[in-house]
Amino acid sequence: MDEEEPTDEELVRRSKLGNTHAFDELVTRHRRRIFALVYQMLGSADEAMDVAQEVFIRAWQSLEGFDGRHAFSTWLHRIATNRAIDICRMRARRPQGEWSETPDGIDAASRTTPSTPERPGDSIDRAEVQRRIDAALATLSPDHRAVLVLREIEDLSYEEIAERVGCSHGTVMSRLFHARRKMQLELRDFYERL
Amino acid sequence: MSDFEHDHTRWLDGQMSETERRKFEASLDAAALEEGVAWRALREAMVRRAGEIETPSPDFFNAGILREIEREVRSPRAEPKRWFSLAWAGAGCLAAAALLSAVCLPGAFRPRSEADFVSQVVSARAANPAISAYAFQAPDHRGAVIWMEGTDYIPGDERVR
Repeated sequence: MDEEEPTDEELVRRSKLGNTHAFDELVTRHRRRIFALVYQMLGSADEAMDVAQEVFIRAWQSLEGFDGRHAFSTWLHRIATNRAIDICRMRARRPQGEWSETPDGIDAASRTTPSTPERPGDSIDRAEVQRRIDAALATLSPDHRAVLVLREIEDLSYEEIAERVGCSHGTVMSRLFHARRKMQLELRDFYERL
Repeated sequence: MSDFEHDHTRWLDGQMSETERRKFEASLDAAALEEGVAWRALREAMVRRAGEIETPSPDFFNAGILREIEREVRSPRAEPKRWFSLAWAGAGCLAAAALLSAVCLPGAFRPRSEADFVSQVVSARAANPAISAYAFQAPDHRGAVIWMEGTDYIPGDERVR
């Protein structure tokens, strides 16, 4: 007999009744996206693994408060974003003296177009692209990385980012500007060939 | 944040009206325009990259979560209602303690009469004939002195009644 897959809503309903198998199915459905989001915001796979697990555990603990007005995935995504931002903030409070709002050495009006001409036949290996993007993201400050990931990958609006990150609309735009500049500089030798 | 940063950000995000975009692009040189195109390509690569990220050891990932939530199911956390009951019980205890203090403590700390502090020696008789005991009242100092002769010390376990 071909049994229909239960919806997220149905699995949430069962989970609220204490059905851990239903919740396990929700974890399976959403773990990849949650892990990817946290990984890109934190830049460390090990840490992302722990934090993503923690996100699901928090979701389980807060299921009673989930009223179903938004999709489960949206709710879960919000928990993950908030947790990743909290961690970014904790990191930022640690004295590192490494990052500032405006990265040193980048002129706002600087040009980042590659200085070396593109060579015909250049092709970039997919794994190399992944590695370079991850490495470039890792050079950003936690605040810049969070804003960039939320905007470029999660496609949140400036207002949504400001609300989640807890800063002004103008600060979001400024961080985005400088994060993009930094990414362009980091990837200047190849990003036009992508 | 400068106007350029603000406009550049909006431009890359496609937030400008057609008129604004044309005006802004007219202010950029060819290299800056190329940069915009390149950024869009980079953005696509980033989105692609995000889509390719896999959870390492997915079974281990689920197992860790399941272990934790099953542990919680076995030992459920105290319900909010119970916390309320505990809070009320605590408040009740505090109120009772305050009431008892109000009733009993004033008695305990009432001003004491002088008689409470005056010592009186009723008898200064020593059982051992080799020892003589004398008592002196010292009402000014609210006490009495017992002077004993014939002994070098009073053992610690000796009761002076």
